[in-house]
Amino acid sequence: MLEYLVSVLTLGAATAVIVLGLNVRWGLSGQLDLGFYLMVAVGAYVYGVATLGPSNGQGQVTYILGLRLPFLVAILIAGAASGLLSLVIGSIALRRVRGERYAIVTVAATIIGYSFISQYSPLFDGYNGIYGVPRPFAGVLNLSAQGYSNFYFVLEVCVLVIVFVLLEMVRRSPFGRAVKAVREDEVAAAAFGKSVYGLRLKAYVLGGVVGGIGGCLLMGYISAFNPASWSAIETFLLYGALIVGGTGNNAGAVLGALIVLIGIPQLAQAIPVVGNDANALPAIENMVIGLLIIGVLRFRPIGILPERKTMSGQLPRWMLHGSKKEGVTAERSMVSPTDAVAAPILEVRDVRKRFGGLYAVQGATFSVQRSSITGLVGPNGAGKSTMINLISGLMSPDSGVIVLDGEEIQGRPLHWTSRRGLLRTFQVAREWPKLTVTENVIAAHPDRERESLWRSLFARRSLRRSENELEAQALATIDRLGLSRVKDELAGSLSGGQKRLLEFARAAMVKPKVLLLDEPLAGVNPVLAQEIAAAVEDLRSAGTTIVIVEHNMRFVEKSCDTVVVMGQGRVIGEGSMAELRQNEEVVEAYLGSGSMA
Amino acid sequence: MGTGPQVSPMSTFLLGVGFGLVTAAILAISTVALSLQFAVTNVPNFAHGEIMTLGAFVGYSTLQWSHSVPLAIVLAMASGSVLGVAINKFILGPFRKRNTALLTQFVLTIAISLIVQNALLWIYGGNTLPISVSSGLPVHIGPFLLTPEEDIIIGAAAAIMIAVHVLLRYTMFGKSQRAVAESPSLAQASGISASKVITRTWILTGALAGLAGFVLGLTSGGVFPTLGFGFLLVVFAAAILGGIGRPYGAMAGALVVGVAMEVSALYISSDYKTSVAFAILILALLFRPQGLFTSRMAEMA
Repeated sequence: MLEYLVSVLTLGAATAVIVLGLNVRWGLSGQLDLGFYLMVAVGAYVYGVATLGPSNGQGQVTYILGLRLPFLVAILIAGAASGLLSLVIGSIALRRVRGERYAIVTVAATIIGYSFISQYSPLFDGYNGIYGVPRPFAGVLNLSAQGYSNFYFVLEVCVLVIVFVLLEMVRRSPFGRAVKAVREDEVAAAAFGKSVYGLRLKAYVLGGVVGGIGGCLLMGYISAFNPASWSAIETFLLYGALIVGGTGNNAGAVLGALIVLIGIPQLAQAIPVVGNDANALPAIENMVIGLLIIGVLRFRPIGILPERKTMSGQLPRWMLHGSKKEGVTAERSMVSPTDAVAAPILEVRDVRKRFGGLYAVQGATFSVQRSSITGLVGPNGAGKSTMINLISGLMSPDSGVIVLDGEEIQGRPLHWTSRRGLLRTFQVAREWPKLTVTENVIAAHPDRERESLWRSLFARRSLRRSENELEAQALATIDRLGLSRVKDELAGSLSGGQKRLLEFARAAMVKPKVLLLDEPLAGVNPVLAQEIAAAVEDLRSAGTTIVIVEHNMRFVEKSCDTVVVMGQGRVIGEGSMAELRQNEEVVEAYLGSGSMA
Repeated sequence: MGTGPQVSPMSTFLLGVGFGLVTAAILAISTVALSLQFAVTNVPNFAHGEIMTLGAFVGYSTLQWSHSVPLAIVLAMASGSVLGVAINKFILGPFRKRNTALLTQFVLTIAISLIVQNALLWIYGGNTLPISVSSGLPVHIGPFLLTPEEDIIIGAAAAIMIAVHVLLRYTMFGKSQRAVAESPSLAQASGISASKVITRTWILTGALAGLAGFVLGLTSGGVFPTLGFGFLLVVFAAAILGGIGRPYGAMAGALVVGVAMEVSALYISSDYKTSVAFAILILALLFRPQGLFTSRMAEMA
């Protein structure tokens, strides 16, 4: 009985490590990667090649290098090999494609990899695969068969625990938070200066390394690996485990692996065989897993153990102790001293943008004074939102120059302008729904050095104080905006108005040079409008220059120092409201005879 | 490969193109179905390959029982429609009503693929079941060397493409189908029942997939549970190349991928045939993610 249990759980521990790897890619980073098992296979193969002895002269010459490396070295090499392959595939696939197309590219990559491995024999001996891989430490230890089984089980559990703890650290680190932000809304993440591609790629590679290590454990247990033992379907089963256990939850990944990949096959062995050949049993298992996926997604899409949210005031233990030597590195505010230069902070010169045959912006020119609140108004279709998109870098202009604080920024991408101190909001609030309010605000902080994967694993103590400080800062901002009551709620569950306020909380965290607000009052009630007006004034007094696209003229009149009026893609007026009232073109085009009186 | 020493390189190439036309014909039927279905649901159906496999098995069983090819074709198509409608009614439909994320719906189709593929494995076993209809000897038609059976396949595919074109362009169903593809809510607001259009699209695309599966079984000489699954990624390659959701692009994509696969098989090992299709897919996604045959304007709209 014990022997049976140990052998089942040995397989279980290896599988759990593999599913943990998938959880980094799909759970943490939201990448539907259908080629994950390739990483596992490569880990297993490389581990086998690294540990096998020299050729025995019986035909196994094609793959044996005779390295005979010890377990720990081999596992590192295998993990690195999977990581390297991930880096190659990821840097191709993650750059251009998203969603289901990305998924299809990953299957395609797996199948290319599969046919290469199985048909090109010098690599891993083609269809024969490799076998006779020595069990780890079997030569060194002098154990009985059962004793060795127990030993190997304990060894695997140790690896599992180490991987689990490291991945928990990653999940709760600034890196993990940033990866989740990219998962939740990549445009918003780019607007806050996150390197969407870099964070995705790192998560992709980390997942691959973990999958490769899982492959090593598998190889160490079964001692052989060949193309017949894996296919694209293997990855789907891993998804089944993760979805049932709880996508995004590491404990859920382990639980799912044990229930779905170990439990179901064990149970299936208990039922009498029905069907016409040996395929009946695995076929039934796979069907059950398929039905489980559908059932869980229907009735409990979050899985048995849902993704955990990090509550404020509960920093992980490892963050509470440690050196005090380092604080937030980017305490430097992006705001330059108010009276530094008299030149405008933002200049737009003859900018044009065409969609098909239609000019959305045709030769707009205006400037924004430092520390002003500038309104950008005009009728629908005047090109205001396009203007915001062009300045922020979400779109690039066909021609023209945009200067931010003395530097030309036209055509630069969103995350680039964001790092230069230009922050924007969107017409529809773009919070990161599955991060808490507090996490949303902390994640907005522009210090990207804190979001390094390396530091989340190996330089954790240096993160501790900055994390404490940022949390205190975030909570203070949240409190100022009256969001304290919902500070630990998921941002996706907030009301429309609260989401608006959250955007201001995030902006306050960034302290940008220029903040572009795209219709911050759309669909907002009068009370909230006042709060937002106060928040805008707060940001300005902290030194931020503000540009607001807004239709609410009373708000524009009260809050804005200068107003830029656009009509049909051109700037038709610029100045104070009083000046604009005298401008006939403006009055006619937009303001109407009655509205300004 | 059957190419004697007297054959010039050019005619070898043309032979490959000829075989490619057969593959392209099957691919076109299947890809147009996948693309039409994607256009109205926005979910690429990963179980599309299993609809093909089901059609192939039903066709196989019908042939065993009746020896009638037309009947086998009809039942293969009917079974594909039934499976498609069932997938829509019992699984994707309820999730669509709850506004489930599209990527999650895509995962659901993977689960469906897992279930159907293994159900077929359970019923029919894992071995390849030989299937063939008596066919004549290969005959030269122009530079191509094809059996009469293959000529029929190419002709039928061309006829189906024309029929799909007529259906989309000139019938009420086609108009509502395009309206739903453009914007389901707008179509709904103008009195078109989106759910009805989606169901009918599943009937049509299921039938086409079932047919493609049966023909694929015929040309590859046997039926097995991963028949359609193995072909699916080639279908995706063609669909994405043509701009997924665009039936005319799908036809062009199928032609490019089908011919490229068979021609490449003459020069490098035919084991790498599918890898060639995927390589085309990956290159296409890297350099023109919107598809090769979509204009910029169409993409903006």
